[in-house]
Amino acid sequence: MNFNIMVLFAGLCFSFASNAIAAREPSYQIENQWVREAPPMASMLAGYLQIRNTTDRAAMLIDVSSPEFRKVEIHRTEVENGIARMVRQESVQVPANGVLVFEPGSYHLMLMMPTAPLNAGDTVSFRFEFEGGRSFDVIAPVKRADSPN
Amino acid sequence: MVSQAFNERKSPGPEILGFLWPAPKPLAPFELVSTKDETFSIDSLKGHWTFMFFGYTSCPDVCPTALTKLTGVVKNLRSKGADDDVQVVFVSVDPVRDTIARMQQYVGYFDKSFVGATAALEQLDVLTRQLGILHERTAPDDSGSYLVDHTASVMLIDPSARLVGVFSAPLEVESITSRFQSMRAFLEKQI
Repeated sequence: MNFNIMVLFAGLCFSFASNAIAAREPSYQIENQWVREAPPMASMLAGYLQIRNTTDRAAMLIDVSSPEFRKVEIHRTEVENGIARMVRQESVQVPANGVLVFEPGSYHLMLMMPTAPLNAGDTVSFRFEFEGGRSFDVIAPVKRADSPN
Repeated sequence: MVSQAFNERKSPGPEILGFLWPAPKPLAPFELVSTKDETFSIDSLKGHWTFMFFGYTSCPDVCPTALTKLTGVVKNLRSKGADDDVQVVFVSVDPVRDTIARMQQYVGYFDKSFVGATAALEQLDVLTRQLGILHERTAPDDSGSYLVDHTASVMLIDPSARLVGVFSAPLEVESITSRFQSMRAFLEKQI
């Protein structure tokens, strides 16, 4: 009896372990995603995250969408000679076995025309679509950015 | 003798990144509409150390990032009891969309003490040209929405209405706080 329980337990352990291994199969992961809470009248927000590509091939992010916004675009802030401009990116490449970081002052999701007001504590759903047909759904919390140093 | 006095007055000053000493730039009169009083003019600068940032409320990344950093600077100064005569002014370079009511909500979100100001482009440029601020609207998209490219640096104006410092991007709270305090300490000794 005890032996049977042990076998069952060992089986469960194996099953968890193989799930963990499956999760680590080469793929793309969206991590640390968040949406910056904006002043109440704002019609434009920004989203940040990082994309980890654990495959041996570069990944190409081609579209991001969200039911909470009428329009989502991938942008990059570029500062040249002291002038900041936002440059729309049709797609962005995540290097093979590399990470692409979306952060304030750099790559970001430009989130336009929210369908309802969003406050810290709310969540936003995103679908990230990559070249080759892979897509990933993630949920991002809305957070207030408090004077990071 | 005269040149010696001149040299004393214009001592080289400390090496601080972004410090415009020994050539601070006195500003000429300008007039903006303000969220605080009716107008924001050269007189509103006098008696204050002013951090001034130029942007627009439909800017999702650069402007909230800069204003969040400035809330950090003000909090730092507040904790040292050194914020009494410090003001932060956000000037919109998008006066067509940024009404004063809109600006009020926008700047108030970051810190109740922040001032918002703007003016029709012609008036606005009386100030931007003096500070070397550039701003340009991009072509509107299908829905008529547009972006504005703009200078991403924070300007520091002293209580005599002179441009004395420029903090360039990327803005860092601790660095701005300590550079400001060094600039201020030096300038207060020059009077």
